[in-house]
Amino acid sequence: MKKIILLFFAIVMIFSLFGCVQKSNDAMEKKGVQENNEAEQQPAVNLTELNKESPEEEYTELNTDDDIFRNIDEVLENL
Amino acid sequence: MKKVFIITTIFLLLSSIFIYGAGGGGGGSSSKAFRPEERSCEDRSSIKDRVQCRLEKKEEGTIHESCRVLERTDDCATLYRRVYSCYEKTGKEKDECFKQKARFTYKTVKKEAGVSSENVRNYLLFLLYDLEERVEEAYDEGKLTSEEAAELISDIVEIKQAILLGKSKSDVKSLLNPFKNKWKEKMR
Repeated sequence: MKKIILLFFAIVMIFSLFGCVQKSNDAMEKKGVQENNEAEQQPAVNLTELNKESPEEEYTELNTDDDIFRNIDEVLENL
Repeated sequence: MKKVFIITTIFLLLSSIFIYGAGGGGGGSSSKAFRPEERSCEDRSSIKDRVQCRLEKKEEGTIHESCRVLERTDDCATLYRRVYSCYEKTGKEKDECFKQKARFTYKTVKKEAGVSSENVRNYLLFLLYDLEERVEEAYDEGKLTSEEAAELISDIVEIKQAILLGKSKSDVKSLLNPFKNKWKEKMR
């Protein structure tokens, strides 16, 4: 009888340990995703390359809905 | 003595179930087992239904809707992640940021189109995503119902999917023109 109780006790302990390990794995995974996001926020293109163009070629305003639609139309014209 | 053993065992069993339940929350399957009545927005069949569900429940999707049509969704998700920081900017700064993230070599679309149509297509995706953000904002401010917002967003998603799938200019235009009319009707 004592042996059965001890065995059951051991199974329960393993089960609770498994829960703890899974929780810590989830935390590690979340941390990994965060680090990955931070790494991807680095600028993609060297700014000095973009500034080599003539001064009349400027970036466009993107404030209003009309600004966005105007840019969309421009892209479709040039695709 | 026997009683002490039994009480300890029951206590440990209950606490281990609690720990297991808390640990499995991130994966999804275990939490479902505990709350079978909750249906995830991801289970809805149409784009519009999923978007509407997320708007109402204020949930984030597991994957960008427009990326779902692609085989390699990771690259698509990375592209969007790259541009997130630009949406805090305004005016020319925002345009500059979009073009940087789309890896433009030139400042203007006209010049860039001669170099890389892929970069220009990515820029177009970022512009459309900006419209999506504006719809969500209008919904948060109570200017649109969840159904109206979901309809506009699902239209934008369909246009983005056409771009990501490399559809022709005329295909994209045929989706964009009716969308523009809908936008004028709902957003102005």
